[in-house]
Amino acid sequence: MDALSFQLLFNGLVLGAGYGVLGLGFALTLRAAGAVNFAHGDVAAVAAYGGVTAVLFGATGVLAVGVATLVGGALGLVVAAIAWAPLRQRPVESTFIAAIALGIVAQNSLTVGFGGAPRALPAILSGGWRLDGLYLSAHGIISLGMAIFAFTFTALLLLKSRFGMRLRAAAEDPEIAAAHGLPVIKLAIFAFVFAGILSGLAGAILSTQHYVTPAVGAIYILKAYIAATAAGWGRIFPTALIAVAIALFETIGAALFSHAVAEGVLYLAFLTLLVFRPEGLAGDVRGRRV
Amino acid sequence: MKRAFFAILTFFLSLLGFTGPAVSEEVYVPVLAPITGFLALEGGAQRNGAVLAAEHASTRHGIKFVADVQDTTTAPDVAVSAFRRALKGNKPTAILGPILGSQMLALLPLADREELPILTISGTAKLTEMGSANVFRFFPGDSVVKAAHALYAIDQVGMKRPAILFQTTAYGQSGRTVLKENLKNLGVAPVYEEGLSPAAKDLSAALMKAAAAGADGFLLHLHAGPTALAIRQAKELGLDLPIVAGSAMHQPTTAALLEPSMLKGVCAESGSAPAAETKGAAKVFADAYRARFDTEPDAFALAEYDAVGMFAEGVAAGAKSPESMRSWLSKNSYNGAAMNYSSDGKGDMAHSAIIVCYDGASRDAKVVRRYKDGAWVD
Repeated sequence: MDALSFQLLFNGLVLGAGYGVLGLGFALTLRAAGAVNFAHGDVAAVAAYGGVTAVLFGATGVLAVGVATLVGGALGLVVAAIAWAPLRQRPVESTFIAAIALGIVAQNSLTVGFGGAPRALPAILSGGWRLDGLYLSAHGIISLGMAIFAFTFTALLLLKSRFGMRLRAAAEDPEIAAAHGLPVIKLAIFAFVFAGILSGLAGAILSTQHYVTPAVGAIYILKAYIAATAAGWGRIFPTALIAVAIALFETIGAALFSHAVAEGVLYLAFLTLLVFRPEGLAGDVRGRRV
Repeated sequence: MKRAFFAILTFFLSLLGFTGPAVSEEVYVPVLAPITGFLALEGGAQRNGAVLAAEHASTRHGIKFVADVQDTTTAPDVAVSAFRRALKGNKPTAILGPILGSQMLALLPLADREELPILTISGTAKLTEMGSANVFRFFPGDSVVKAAHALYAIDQVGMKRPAILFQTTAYGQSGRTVLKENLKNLGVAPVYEEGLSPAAKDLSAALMKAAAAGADGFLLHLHAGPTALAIRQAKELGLDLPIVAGSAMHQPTTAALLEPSMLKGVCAESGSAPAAETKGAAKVFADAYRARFDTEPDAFALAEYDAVGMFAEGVAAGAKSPESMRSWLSKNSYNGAAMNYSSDGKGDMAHSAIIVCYDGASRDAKVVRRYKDGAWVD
């Protein structure tokens, strides 16, 4: 593999770090609350602007990432309180339409508050290393580290902790879980908050290298939605991995073909998958349960 | 007692806005702009320019100009709805169209059907090539700025094998076509070209393929975010090639995304660069804009300011119907803050361009060349 290929792989992984963490949160809400949170991308954008605001008040790159994750968590709570909790007994469309509406409000609020100009979070560590024609940015390496930490922490929380077991039980069958005394609604709200924190982290990772604009949430949610559908509705870790694969494909596919062709091939592949395996690569958790 | 009565009356009238410069009439100025969506930066500048121009024109002419701004987002159908909304009630004398080329292309047939002059700052070349008598463009079209773009890259920078990276939007494709024509006229063919979606998040592949094709410089025709991303990634990849970018790069908000050192060797074309001007009417505009909006002005704000300024001058001169306004805009010239405007018979009003460059020590652009009618004029 030459330096060009390594460079593309590295850049794709850095982009995938953001997409992957974003997909992780989207699938978590989908699994735990049965909610298609279409505001998830906008939460990432608002959280990134939270970090941008912190920088205006003198925050460093590390602090800005912290602020972005906190804002993301708080917004997760807002989404749960407005777009999920009051509508959870209604048809599922109610929730995702409410989430879309919240996302539009968020986009327009950002435009009014910050204007339309792209903004960037400062890198936690600027600069990088040049090795035989390969450039490894410090920001890229830190982004990969943050994404690996987020994946590991989420896996441990869901798979190894008592809390995660209760969360999964509530997600599998809310009625049976409630009958056994589990606080199903509180657990779902926690899932929204945790997904918001992940979304905030993704927003911080993506906005440092790729900038943030008020409308960028629509692009983010498209990637997360494709990943969730391709992986299988409600499959948390496969969704995150497919989100990383999308980023790699966008970067490497652009080198093999062109950006426009790579984008077309990606959507064509997605449509083909929907035709031949509509339940997704890892299978549909909710469909299987039904 | 009488004095007290008049004092109280004056106080209440002032609350109702009856004081200040005397105005004899009110003129409705519909402004359609993409305030939200991926072109919100340019749409916001367009809105600000129109609002400031309406305020200044009201004071100058003693006529109250009311800029009624409608958001067109970035979809042509939303622009059409906004256009129809603007025509409800009294028919306006003219309408200020959105900066987005694809929206202007959708609106132009409607403007022709309504026989309503539509003033625009969209650079899309096709707009003034469709034979419409109602379109008036106040930002130099691609035929001007892309000619300056190509000439600077070849004549001043010395590129012989440029690569073109352009946006896949109507704006990008129009600019790319005209840029290529101008390069051809200069005896140069691009060694690499690629269209990029505004949503593309990593441009390293396009940059590296261009370098591998033997490019000796980059010609960018991208929106603000992708322009900054392309420059940043080119520098990170160690591609130390000169870059001559499109007008998005002259915007102070684009430069703010990059470290000053990354801007070394970067130049850009534009219709004007008010933030970079140190004297003259453009500097006066820039100061007023900063005071009014607490942000840096760009060429789009200034072009819209001049468009509304010329419209207001036409109203003050007696052009108070769409027919008379169309005739007035076609036959008169206007000394705006950016340049002198006059129709070339097709509706192109702006015929000058500038080139700005960055020195790598700061984010402040400097005007290095001024262009008009196919040649440098400074």
